[in-house]
Amino acid sequence: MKTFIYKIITKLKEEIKNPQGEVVENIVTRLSISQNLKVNTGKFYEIKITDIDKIEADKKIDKISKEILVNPLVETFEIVSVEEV
Amino acid sequence: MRACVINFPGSNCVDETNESLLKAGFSVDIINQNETNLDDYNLIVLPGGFSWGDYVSCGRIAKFSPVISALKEKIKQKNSFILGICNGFQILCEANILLGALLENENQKFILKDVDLSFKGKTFKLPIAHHQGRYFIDDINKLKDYDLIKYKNNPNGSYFDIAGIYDKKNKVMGLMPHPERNYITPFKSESGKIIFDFIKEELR
Repeated sequence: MKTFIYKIITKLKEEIKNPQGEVVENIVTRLSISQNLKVNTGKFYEIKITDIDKIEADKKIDKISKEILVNPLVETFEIVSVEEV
Repeated sequence: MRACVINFPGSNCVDETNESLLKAGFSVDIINQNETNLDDYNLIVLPGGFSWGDYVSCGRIAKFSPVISALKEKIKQKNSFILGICNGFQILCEANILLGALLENENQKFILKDVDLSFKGKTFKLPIAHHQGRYFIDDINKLKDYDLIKYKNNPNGSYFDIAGIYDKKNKVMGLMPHPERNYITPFKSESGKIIFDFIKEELR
């Protein structure tokens, strides 16, 4: 058995209005830090999973992400790193 | 007519929903998320609250409940009405029983107030109480077979001013406003009755 740590980011699709991101954009503009930025926000998950090999672990992480971590109508997910421990 | 209210862990509007249904003339059972037999019920209500703490996203975890699988089978029989109020609406959308999704309010605040609504030519006022009630649908044409409950003054940034939707074919309604609160609260207009009368009419 092998153990992996997956780091996953979920976020709203870019075409959907993201009020949290807009709040950050507004404050950055108001503080004159930058006038030209686009902010999206999301969530970060770190999942430690043990399975027979990476192929099986990948499959399970894909299922977890698609069915639990996001609603595919409005959100996307991205696995930003995988590390064997 | 028999109704049931599904008490998910974290549902907190069960009592007033129960009282409203009794007032509307239903006999009511309160069931939990593990129930798999819905045969006896004409009306199944998913109440407001914070099922499973709204972790990950509102309604996301509740959609995996055994009762939701039973609900999907029950809808196929076309002999019942399903009503999701607030968190119940979120669960129905997350479970793909209703179209669309509910996102965080545009103003990033929990909104608690009475709002003006329109539904089937009637205008009335009902309370809302939510942080994640901004209805999203990517194409309004997908709702062409639905009746819409609309806000007069959109409080949360919902797409197309949508406060609730009614899938006429499957008799499934989801709405963010709380008809049950308004119906049993003294000194209020009792306009929640409009929703319960509509349900009774649809069940005839």
